[in-house]
Amino acid sequence: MPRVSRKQPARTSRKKIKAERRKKVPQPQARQPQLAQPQAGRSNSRTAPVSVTGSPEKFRVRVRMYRQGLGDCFLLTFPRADKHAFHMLIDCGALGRDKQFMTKIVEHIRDTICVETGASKAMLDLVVATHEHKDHLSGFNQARDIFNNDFEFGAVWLGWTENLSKPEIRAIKETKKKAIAKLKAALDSPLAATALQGVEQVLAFSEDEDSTGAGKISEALDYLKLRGKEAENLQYLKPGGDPLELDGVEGVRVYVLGPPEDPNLLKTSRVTEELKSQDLIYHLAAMGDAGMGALGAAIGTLNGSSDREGERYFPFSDEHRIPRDALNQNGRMGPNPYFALIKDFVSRTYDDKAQAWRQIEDDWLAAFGDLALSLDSDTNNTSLVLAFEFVKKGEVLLFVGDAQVGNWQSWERVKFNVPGRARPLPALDLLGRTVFYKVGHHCSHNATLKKGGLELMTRDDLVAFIPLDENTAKKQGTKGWEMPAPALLKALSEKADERVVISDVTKNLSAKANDAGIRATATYIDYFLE
Amino acid sequence: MASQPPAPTYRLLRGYAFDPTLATQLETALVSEITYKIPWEEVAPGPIGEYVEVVDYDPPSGCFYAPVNLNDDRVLAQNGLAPSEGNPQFHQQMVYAVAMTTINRFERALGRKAFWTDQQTPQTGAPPKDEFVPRLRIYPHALRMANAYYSRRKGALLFGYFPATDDRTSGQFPGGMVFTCLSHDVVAHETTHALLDGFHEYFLEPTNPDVLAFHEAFADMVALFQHFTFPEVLRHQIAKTRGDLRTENLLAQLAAQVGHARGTHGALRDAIGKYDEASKKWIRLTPDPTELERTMKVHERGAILVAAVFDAFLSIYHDRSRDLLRLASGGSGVLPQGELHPDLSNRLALEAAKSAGHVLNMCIRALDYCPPVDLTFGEYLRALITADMDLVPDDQHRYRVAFIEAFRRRGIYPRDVRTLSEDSLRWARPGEDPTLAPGQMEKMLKTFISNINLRQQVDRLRYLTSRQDIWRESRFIQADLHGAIRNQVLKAQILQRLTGLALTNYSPPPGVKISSTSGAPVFYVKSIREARRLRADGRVLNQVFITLLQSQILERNGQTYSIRCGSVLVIDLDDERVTFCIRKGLRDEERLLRTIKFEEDRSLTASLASTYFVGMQEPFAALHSTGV
Repeated sequence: MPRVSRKQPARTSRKKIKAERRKKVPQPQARQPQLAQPQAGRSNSRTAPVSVTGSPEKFRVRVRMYRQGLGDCFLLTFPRADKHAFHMLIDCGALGRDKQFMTKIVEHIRDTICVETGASKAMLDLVVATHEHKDHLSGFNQARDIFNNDFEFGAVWLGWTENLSKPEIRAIKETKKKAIAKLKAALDSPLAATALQGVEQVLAFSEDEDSTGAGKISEALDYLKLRGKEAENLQYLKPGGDPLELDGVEGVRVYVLGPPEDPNLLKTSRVTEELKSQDLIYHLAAMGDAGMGALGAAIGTLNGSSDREGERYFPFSDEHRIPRDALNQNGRMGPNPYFALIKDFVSRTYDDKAQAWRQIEDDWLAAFGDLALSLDSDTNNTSLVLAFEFVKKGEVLLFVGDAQVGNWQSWERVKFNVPGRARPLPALDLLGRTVFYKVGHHCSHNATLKKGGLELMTRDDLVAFIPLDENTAKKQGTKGWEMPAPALLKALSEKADERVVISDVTKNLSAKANDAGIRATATYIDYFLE
Repeated sequence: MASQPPAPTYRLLRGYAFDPTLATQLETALVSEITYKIPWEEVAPGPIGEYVEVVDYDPPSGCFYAPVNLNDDRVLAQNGLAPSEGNPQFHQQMVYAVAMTTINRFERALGRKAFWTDQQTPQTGAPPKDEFVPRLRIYPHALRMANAYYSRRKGALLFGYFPATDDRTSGQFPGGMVFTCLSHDVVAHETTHALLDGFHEYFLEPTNPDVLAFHEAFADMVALFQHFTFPEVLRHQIAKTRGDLRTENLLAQLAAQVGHARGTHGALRDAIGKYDEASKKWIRLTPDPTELERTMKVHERGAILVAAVFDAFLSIYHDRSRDLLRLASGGSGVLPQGELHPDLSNRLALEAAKSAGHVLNMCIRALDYCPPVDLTFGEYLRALITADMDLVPDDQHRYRVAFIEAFRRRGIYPRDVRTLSEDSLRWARPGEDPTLAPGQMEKMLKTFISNINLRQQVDRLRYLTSRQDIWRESRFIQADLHGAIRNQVLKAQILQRLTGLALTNYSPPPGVKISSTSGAPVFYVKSIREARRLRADGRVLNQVFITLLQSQILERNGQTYSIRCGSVLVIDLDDERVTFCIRKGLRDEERLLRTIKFEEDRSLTASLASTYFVGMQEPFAALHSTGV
């Protein structure tokens, strides 16, 4: 089988990158010997053993889902014929977990690999970051020391949407940054206390600073890019085309299904025009600066600031506007004499106590909720979606990141050139053979397409893993987040029966789950494909 | 006193015909302004009238705008303020004019007063108390976004404003301010939402894919057909299209400015065509009978119904104007090249206006014949046909055929009808009961109608003029009727069979709530509406529509569902006869299952917003954020 190479030529010398990386290590004490030199079979760690008793001796892949909270962290292990197994990490993050907690998880990953390989440093042959959200990447910042000192990286894969050398991608990210800035400004204003509570938590996925030491999420991506360049194997992946291979792993092909190709790059294609017109993907980019400026200007006015830049977003010139209070001659705020002229009217209508139910103080703020939602949704849609196919028997493992409906719908048009096949392989064909599905976006609404998605997964041995911490989800927003979405969980259970596994559910696994190759400890849950 | 002048019939107010964009184009500048004729009423500054109150508060800008006084001599003397985008008082005048035009159109078609949805005040330990809402509140500048919506919770219309897209190819002034309240279509659309909600409260409960889509479609239809009441624009467009309204024209488009300003290169919606991104041209859409099955999004689905109704209108108009074309072309029916003779344009415009008026009347009157819950497009067609057959028994101009054909071409069919003929589409008349002697059933119903004193009850409403009095009296009558039905147990059994509801103590089906005091099933008399309309044959139709409601609680897969059922009795008061019973009964298991299935699917395809913001409260805000 021809080895498909999509390697990028490393532009920077290896040495230079290494030096750069070292500079970024936040705390030098990380190099102290206490953490170095992990040894095979080391048991002083307080976490769970590196393998569950009763695990099968032989398997084709082991998928390990860590139970670190509301976030994704998956370690995939593919045995190789001639040497130690191939280890691959897909995401490493959680919402609301501190540095210490995430360090433990990463240490466990390290120990698992070292026991396997017997080497002093843990070799991650491949690291995948699905998209730029805290619940998927925080660990790369929080446990940076461990990653720096105890891990070798073989390769790094990212979605094409992270390739900042492309101007159109930079433009999307810039727009996003601006939107976040506007939202933050809104949250800093007095409005936040009442009307914007729910928005704050949605923003938390992309927010940079908090008490958990998760740091800047974009920095986690920068770090991974650096490690990828250092390994001389950093790849930005696009859907379709040739399948990829895992170095030395026989009989496994990797297919890229998403993120969907940028509609702006394919203006002539009717297909993507349709997607674009339906606002399915990246509609933030289309919202335009003017719309966001208007929102920003509104916040400016609330703080009583005389932001002249905001002036152009007012609907009418100054002479028409009658605020209740205005600057008086002494330069102090006081009752507006012009308001006195309409005071009767206002007290009979808007201020009438019996009519208070009709006031509209907060309704316009829904725009911020919409903005936060589309921000979140847009980033989710940049999720790198991978399918692993075992060529001989045809089974497929599907990892969708947090892909939203728009991403799913684009797969319908994705095709692959498979050696030995006369016609290209349609991506949806892979769904029909899926035996393992990493449920998108912590089993929320809109993240698992039903028709043309879940409905196509017809294998009767389908296993679904849901990385979730309901307790964390319940604390978010004003009324909590609905994770898992009951209807989706039900639909999943109809498909996968007792083989639906939620990471925060601690009750013992059923016999059916055990038969399907699922094993659990308090720290992680394994799935074995024998 | 003889010196006192009589009250004027109309108040004349100037406004934009569609929206401000027409005024900036040479071709349309002459017809961009029209004078709205509003039935005369006393208005206070705001304007505040009997039906609406405009309160111009702009929370994002933190200010009020002074209310316009339409009674000011200087305003009265010149038919209202001159159209201007930069003058908030004109904006208030415009929303008032368009909202009142829409309300007036609605009332004229139904022949009775319109009401807004009641305000529901929560009570501790009791069901919420309904209160009369005299006026719909209108906020012309409430939001800084490309959105406008009707909020039932606040009994208000909220309009947004936003800067136009930076895309220079949109034809808009980039970044220029666009006001949704200056668009006739947006204001008419939102006002219609409020009117329809006041008429059919449960048409906001999505129990099948058609319910919300109908709300949108109906609002669009009213806005569209109101275009034909603007004589200047109508003549202009007839001349431009040479009488063929199947080609691109402004009359068939909705909210052009809002659409362009959002960067979509076309009107927000178009009943007959669309802007094609690839060829950059307007193309006429051909009806596709399979489209309805594939289209589940509310606005897109609604657009199919609008297109069907508009198609029916086009057939009717072209049918009515065929003789004119023959006269003008020496019998060939093929017009010579060049412009139309102005006389011909005027006559064609007249025919178009007449056809549009008839079609809109049919669409609005059909509401009386719709089931109170769970409406589908197919049932709306049945309501349309039934209502029209009642009023125009002899369909000379073949309006009904035009409707049936247009609906068929869009794949809109009712369930459970044998053929697509007028007769089988008409709602079923109460059939004979095989267990009773022939004629017995009709006799029993007649006795029942006279026993519950329906005529006397309706007489109580007849001479009331204040909407508040009508509202209060209707509620008394509903309570009386409820008691009367309860006391007529024996007759009620027939009614029970007729309506498919459980009205008597005799073995009600499971899931129906039983009153703890009377031991009888709980049901409501939801509304009573009277209608006296002149039939085409000169007879007066004297009808009453009574809506009965009941809920059934069902369990499936461990989930409980409360499903609303209900029936409308159409009663001819002169004959004391139940003419139709339009029902969504308890025992229709197929429907109940369908409803549950839809509910399950709906939660599966819910948007991300329902994960993050549990229990969102403004359905139209979310619905309209992408499509007003």
